[in-house]
Amino acid sequence: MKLTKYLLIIPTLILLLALTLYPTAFAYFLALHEITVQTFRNPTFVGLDNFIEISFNREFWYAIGFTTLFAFVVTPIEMGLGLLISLLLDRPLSGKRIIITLILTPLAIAPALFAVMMKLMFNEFVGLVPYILNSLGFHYSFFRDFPSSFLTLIITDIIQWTPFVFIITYSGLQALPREPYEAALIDGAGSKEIFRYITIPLLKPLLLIVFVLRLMDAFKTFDTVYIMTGGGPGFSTTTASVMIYRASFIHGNFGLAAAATIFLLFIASVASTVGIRVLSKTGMV
Amino acid sequence: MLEKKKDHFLRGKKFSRREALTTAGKVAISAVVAGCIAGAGGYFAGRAAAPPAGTVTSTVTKPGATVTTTVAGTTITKTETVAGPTVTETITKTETIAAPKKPVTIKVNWWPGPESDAIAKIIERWNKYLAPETGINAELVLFGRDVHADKITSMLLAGSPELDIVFEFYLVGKLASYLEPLDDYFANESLYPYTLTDFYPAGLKAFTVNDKLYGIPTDVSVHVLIYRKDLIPKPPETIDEMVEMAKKFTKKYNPDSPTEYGYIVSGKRLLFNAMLWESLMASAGGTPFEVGKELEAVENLTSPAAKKALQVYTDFIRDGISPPDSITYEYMEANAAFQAEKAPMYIQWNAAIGELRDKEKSPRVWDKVGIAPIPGVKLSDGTVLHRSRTHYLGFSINKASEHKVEAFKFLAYLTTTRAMLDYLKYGGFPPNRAVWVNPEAQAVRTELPELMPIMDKYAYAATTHPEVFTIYDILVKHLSAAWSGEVSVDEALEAAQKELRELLAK
Repeated sequence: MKLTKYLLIIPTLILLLALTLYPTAFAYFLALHEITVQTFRNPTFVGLDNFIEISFNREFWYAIGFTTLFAFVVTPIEMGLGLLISLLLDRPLSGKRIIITLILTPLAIAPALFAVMMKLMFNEFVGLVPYILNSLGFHYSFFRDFPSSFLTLIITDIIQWTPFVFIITYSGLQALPREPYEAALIDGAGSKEIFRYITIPLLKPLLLIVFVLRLMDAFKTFDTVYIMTGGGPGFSTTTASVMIYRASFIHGNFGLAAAATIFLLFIASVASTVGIRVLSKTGMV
Repeated sequence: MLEKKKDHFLRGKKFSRREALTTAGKVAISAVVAGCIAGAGGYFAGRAAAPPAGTVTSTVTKPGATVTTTVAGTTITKTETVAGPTVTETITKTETIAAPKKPVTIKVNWWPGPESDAIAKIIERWNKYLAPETGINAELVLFGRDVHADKITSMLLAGSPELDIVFEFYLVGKLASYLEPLDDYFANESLYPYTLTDFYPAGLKAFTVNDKLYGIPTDVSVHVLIYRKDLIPKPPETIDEMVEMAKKFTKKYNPDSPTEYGYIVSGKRLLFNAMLWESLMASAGGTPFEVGKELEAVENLTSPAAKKALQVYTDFIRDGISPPDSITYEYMEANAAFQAEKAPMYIQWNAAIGELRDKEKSPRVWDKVGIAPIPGVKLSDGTVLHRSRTHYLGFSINKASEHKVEAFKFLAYLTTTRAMLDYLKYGGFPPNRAVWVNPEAQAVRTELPELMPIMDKYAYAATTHPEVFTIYDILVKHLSAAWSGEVSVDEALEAAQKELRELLAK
C-alpha cells in the first residue's frame, strides 16, 4: 500500500524535479562560472567571484532597495483598497456581478500589455488622464523625472493588482460565518466594532496569505517597469528583475546574472524568515 | 427509478492494489504498442513518398527522337537530339538519374514590421516560382521586436536547428561562433553565380568578423534630421542653429510659435536612443563608436564635443523645448509627437520616413516632411561637419541548421538586384546601390535621392564589437541620468567612460 502511493506520485515528482531542480542546479552552475555568450560552450570555473562582484555592485544594491521600497509601498495600498472594495460590495446590490466583472478586468490582461496600455493612458499627447487633468486646469507630466515616474509605476501596479486582493478578500468575506455578526448586532455593536473585533480577526489568516503573495509578486515586478520606463531615468526605477534581465540578455553575462538571482533568493529567504518570526510573536500566524 | 439510474456503476466500488496496477500496466503497454505502430507507419509512409534513385536504360532508334524515360513510376520526358551515322542505327543510352529530392522547407526568421512585410512577398514569390525547381520551400518565422535578440541568442546558444536563416543586426560580433561562415559558399560559382559588389562595402563589413563574412545586409538604418519643410524653409546646418531654431518653435519662449515644442528628444533608457545621440555627438566633432575605434571613442567620451552634444539634449528637456515626457520616448512616441505637429524637428532613424510621408498614417504632416543631414559644427575650412551613424540589419545562416546549402541558395537569391528591388518596394531598405539608382525604387521610396548623398558623404559604419549591446546600454544609462537632471553632463560622461573602460579592458 505504501509502495503504491509512492509509485503513483513518481511521474509528477519527476516532472516537478525536471522543472525546478534542474534549472536551480543549472543556475548554481552558471553562478560559479564565467559564462557569456562567447564562452557559453567553454565556461571557466571562477568559484565565488561572481558573488563577490555582485555584492560590491552599487547598482545591484540600489535595485534591491528600490524593489523593496516599491513592494512595501504598493502592497499595503492594494491590501487596503482591495479590502475596502470587498467590504463595500459585501451587501445586496443591484448590478453587483457587472461591477465585479469590471473590477476584475485589469487582472485578465497580461502585465506587459497592461503596461503598454497605461503608458498610452498617461501619454501627454494622446493619453486620457492628461486630457482630463488639462481640462480641469491641472498640468502634470507623468514621466518627467524619478518622482513622477515612480508615482506612475505605483498607480499602474495598484490598478492592475488591487482586483487580486479584492477577489480573495471578497471570497473570504462570503465564507465567514454569520452567527458572530448576528450576536454582535444583538449586543449592540456598531459597524466599526464589528469590523475591528469580528471581521478582521476572522479574515486575518486570509489577509496574511494575500499580503505575502502580493509582496512576493511586487518584489518580482519586471514587465511594468521595463515597458514604461526601461528602468530609467538613468537607473532610478530599475528593479532587481530588470537589472538581472539586463545582465543576462543585454550584457550576456549569465554567470553574474545567476549570482545576482541566487543572492536575491538568499536575501528574500532571510527577510521572509525574519518576517514570519516577527508575525508569529504578534500572534498573526 | 430515475434516482436509481443516477447511481453510477462505479459508486462505492473498491479497487484492490492488484487491479489498479494491472489496469495501469495494460494502459501503458497499449500506449507503447500504439506508439510503435504509428512510428513504423510513419517511417514507411515517408520512405514511400521518395522514389528511389535508379539507373535507367533508354533506347534511341533514330536521330532526333523523343526519349521517354521511366524511373520507378515517375515519368521524366526528355527530348534529345541523337547524332548517329545512319538513320536506322540504334543507340542505347544509359544514364543514372538521382532520386528526386524530398522538398525541403527552410525556416527564415525575421522580426515584425516593414522588413517582414517585404520578406513575406519575396518568400511568396520564391515559393511560387523557384521552390518547384529547387525543391526548397521557405517559411517565415517571426519573433517580436522587443524580444527578438533574446530569442535568437537563446536559440543559437542551445544549438537548436529550428531556424535555418536568422535575422540579426548588432549581434554578429557576439554570435559569430554560432553562425555559418559564408566565404566558401560565395566563392563557389555553382552555388553563387551572382555578385556582391552592389552592396555598400560598410554593409558587408558590418557582417564581417575576423575577416570572415557571416551574413548579408538586407536593411540599412541611417540617422537623419527630420523636419517640417513648411515651417523651416532651410534646415539648420549647425548645432547652434538647431538650438536657436528649436527655441523659436517652443511656445514657452515664443507664444506665436505654430508648435508647442521645438524639438523631440528620444530620451528613454533604451540603448537605441544612445545611438541616436551618438550621431549628434559625432557631428559635433566627437569620436563615435565606429568599427575598430571603440577604445578611441571611450577615451574621447569626455571631449568638449561630447559634452556639447549631451548638454544640448539635457537643456532641451530641462527647459521644456522637448516634451517633458520625452524622457520615456523611443521610436514610436517620437514619431507620434511629430505626426501630431507637436514639434518641427528631431533626429530619427530613416525607417520613419516612409511612415511619416504616408498620407494615411500621417494625415497632418505627410506632405511636409523634409530630410537633412544631422547638424554639426563649422570646421576651419568653412564647411560644416555632418556625420550619420549607420548600422545594418541582415541575415545569417544558423551553424546548427540541417539545411545549410538550401538556406544559402535562398540567401543567394535574396542578394540579386531583382530580389533586393522587390524587398525595397515592399517595405525593406537594402543597402544596395544598384537598387537605389533604379527608377522603380525611387518611385516607391521618394527619399532615396535625399538619402544617397548622406550615405555617400556622411555615413559611418557603427561598431559590431561583441559587447556592442553592453556598450550602448551603459552609455544610455548615464545619458538618461543627465537628461533627467539627476546628474550633471560632466558626471554622466565621466561615469560612462569609467564603466566602458572597465568593460573593454576585460
